[in-house]
Order: sequence, then structure tokens, then C-alpha cells
Amino acid sequence: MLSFQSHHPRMRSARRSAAHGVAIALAALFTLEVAAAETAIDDPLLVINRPVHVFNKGADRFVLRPVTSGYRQVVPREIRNGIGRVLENLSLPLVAVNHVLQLNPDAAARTSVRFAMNTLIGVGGIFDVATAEGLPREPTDLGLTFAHYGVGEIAYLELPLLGPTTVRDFGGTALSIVVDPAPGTHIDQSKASEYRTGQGILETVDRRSQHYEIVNDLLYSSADSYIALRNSYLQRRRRQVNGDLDDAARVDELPDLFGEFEDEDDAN
Amino acid sequence: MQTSTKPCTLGFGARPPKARGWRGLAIASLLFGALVISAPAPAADADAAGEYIRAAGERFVELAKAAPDDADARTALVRNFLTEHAALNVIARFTAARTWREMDQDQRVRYRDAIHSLAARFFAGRVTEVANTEFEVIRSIDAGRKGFLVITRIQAENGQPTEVEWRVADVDGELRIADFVVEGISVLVNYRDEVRSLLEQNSGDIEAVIAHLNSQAGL
Repeated sequence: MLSFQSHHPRMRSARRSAAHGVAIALAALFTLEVAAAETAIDDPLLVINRPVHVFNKGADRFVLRPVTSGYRQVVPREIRNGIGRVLENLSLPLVAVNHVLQLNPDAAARTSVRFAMNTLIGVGGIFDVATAEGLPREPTDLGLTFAHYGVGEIAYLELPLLGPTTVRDFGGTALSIVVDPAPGTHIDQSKASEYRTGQGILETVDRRSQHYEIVNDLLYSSADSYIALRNSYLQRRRRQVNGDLDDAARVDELPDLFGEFEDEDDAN
Repeated sequence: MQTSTKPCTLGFGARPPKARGWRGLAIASLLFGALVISAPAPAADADAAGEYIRAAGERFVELAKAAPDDADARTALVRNFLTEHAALNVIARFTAARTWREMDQDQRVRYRDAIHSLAARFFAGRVTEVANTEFEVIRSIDAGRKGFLVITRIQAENGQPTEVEWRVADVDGELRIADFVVEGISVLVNYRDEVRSLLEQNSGDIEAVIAHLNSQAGL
């Protein structure tokens, strides 16, 4: 079932170029920074990221938000949820591969069974029968696989139209496009590009729809939307990288609320 | 700030003096009452913090269920909830960081109100999502001088469960919520960094920051 062969010459060439680019990016990624302890937010690309954020915010305000708003008004919630589940189901083969790469065969097996159940019994993932059977989502990705092997974030990036990421995570995203063993890779290769574009647009609208209010708040009601988006992305990714923290690690993570103001008496 | 898991017994453990008749009893009662009133509040423990969050969370879900459709009315409702349950001064000081020391009292009050309004608007937007959730306290952790951390699970209707951490501070013997962390994202840390960035953009002018916060809060 899993095949990485491309039969169309143009696709083969495009894939070779993409793979070459990703290989260079990965080499840079591994040599630039490995296993940095990232406890604070360092943003060396701020001067580039800020203008990109302004562009992205405009794109959201004038295109993505109205499209998503229309999608939410026209498509009933249950159907939207079903679409989201199908897209999640399509991502599961790569999720399983990443669990293997992270030396977590149990999670890989559970994810594979989840994929099989939701595909066969859940009609291609429209229905999530696996969660009800005790196989909930266990999301992971190539960025987290790189982190598993000690690759640091390197730098925070806000990419045009793609939004927040890091150099490491973008390397993972780029590589997944090349190697994703999802069913879309195996349809008529001459239509693969259109398929990918369509899937990408649907995923973007679905993701924006699932987090509609929270993204609106981050972008339009926060004190500084660039910082709000950046911090939210990085804090969430760092928690994913660290996995389930024990209590001592959770306490260590807490910033000291009182240290700087111990001499003040108007705390309440 | 020191925390303790040992309940304070001052007042409650005092033995009433012997007294004759009603007069003696009245004097003893007054002395006992005075001792109880003047005793410091018992130091909270992790269980108390967990119970506090359970009660506050359930109250918020109840408020959300009965929340009005009007956005301003919802924001006012959440603002009152935060007045009652949030450690507003602690939050204001932490987010302003060193600038807090440079503010005069009037600026501190206006800055705290601006943060309060911004948070009220943010959580008012979450009210409809909260209305159909089930809320469960998993465990609470005594974090020593850092206060308490209460781990909860929120189960949305037809959704995956989400783990939410609540940072609880013991402020002069009263438990108050100081932070809210979902999937590792801390509202408090976000506010601190946003305020820091605004201060940098405005050459440290706290008045400009307060004006910006008020404008984002829709004031």
C-alpha cells in the first residue's frame, strides 16, 4: 500500500528538487543548532517576521476569515466536524511513521489501528469510531521527530500565508510534503498537484474554522497580535516536545510571580 | 511567599478561661472572638486550591450557561467573575515587570484596570465554548513559594478532552487565580511579553501602553 514511486517524469523531477532542497535545509538544521535548551523566547528574525505578520493578518482579515465565516454559516457543524475528521484520518499514516521514528512502537500501532478502524468502519474517517474504542488521537509530526533527536527550534519564523512555525518545524513540514504516505500520493500522479492544493486549502479553512474564535482573539483583540501568536505557537510546541511533564517539571516551568516584588504589600 | 500544608490553629485551639456567670462567659466570648478575628487566616493547602478551582470552574460554567447574548453584558459578567476570583494585582505586577516600580499609584490602578478589561473581553469570547463543557479537577500540586498548580480536564461536547492548568496564588490568605494554561499556552506569560513588546515600541511610555490596552479591550 505504501509506495514512494512517482511514475510521471515531471513529478519525479519536482520531487528530486524538493528532496534536494529539503536535504540541504536538514543539513543546515542539524549543523546550526542541536539540543538547545529553550526556556526563553528568542526571536532573531523579528525584523523579517513582523512585516510578514502584517501581511498575514491582512490576508486573514480580507480572505481567510470571510471565507471561513461563510464556510461556518453554510456548512452545518456536523458536516464540518466530519470533514475535519477525514482530514485528520488522512494524516494518520505519517503520524504512525513518526511514532516509529520516535521509537514509540506502541503509539505507532495504536495510530495504525485507529487509521484502519476509522477508514473501514468510520467510512474514510467521517466517523471517529476509534476514540470510542479507546484509541484517541495521538498527534505528532516530523518537527517533533527532529526535536526527539535533539534538534532545537533554531529560530521562530512567520511565513507568508503559512503562518507561525520554526526553522525546525518548517523543515519537518517540507519533508512531509515529499514523503507523506497518505492516499493522495497514490492517485493519478498527473493530478497529484491539484489534489495537494485542494487538500491544503481545505485543511487551512478547516483549521481556521476549528479555532475560529481563539484565532480572532489572538489576531484582533490581543495587545500585540504578533507576540500573542508567536508565544502561543512556541509555548504549545514546547509542551508537545516535552510530552507529559511530571509534577516537578511542571512546577519548574512556572514563572515566579512574587520574586521581584517581595517587598510590596499590595498583592491583592 | 511561603505556603504551608499545616492548618493554622491559632484561635481555634485556645482554651477559654474559667468564668463565673453570664458576665464571665461574655468576657470569655469577646476574648475568644477577638482571638479568632485577629488570627491570620489559615494557610491554604493544595487540596484547598483544588477545591477552590472546582468551585470557581463550576461557577463559570453556570455563568456561561446563563450568559446573555449581548457581548457587552457578557464581558461585564466575566469582569465581575475576574474581580472575585483573579489575583489582579499579582497579574498586573507580573505583566508590567520592572515598569511596575516606576508607575505611580494612579497609573498602577489604571494599568490593572486595563489588563482586567482585556482579560474580561478575552474570556467573554470563550463563554459560549464553555457553556457545554464538563469540568473535572484531576489533581493539585503545592508549588511552594510559587503557589499551587491545579490540573483539570475539560470535556467539550463532542470534542476531545483538554487539560487545563490553573495557577493559584495565596494572596494574604485568600486563594486567587493567577494564570490559566491550555496546551502549554499561558495567558499570563503572553500578557507579560505583549506588554513588554508594547513598552519597547512606545519607548517605555506606560501611558501609551495603557491607552493601547484599553483600545484593544474596546474601551
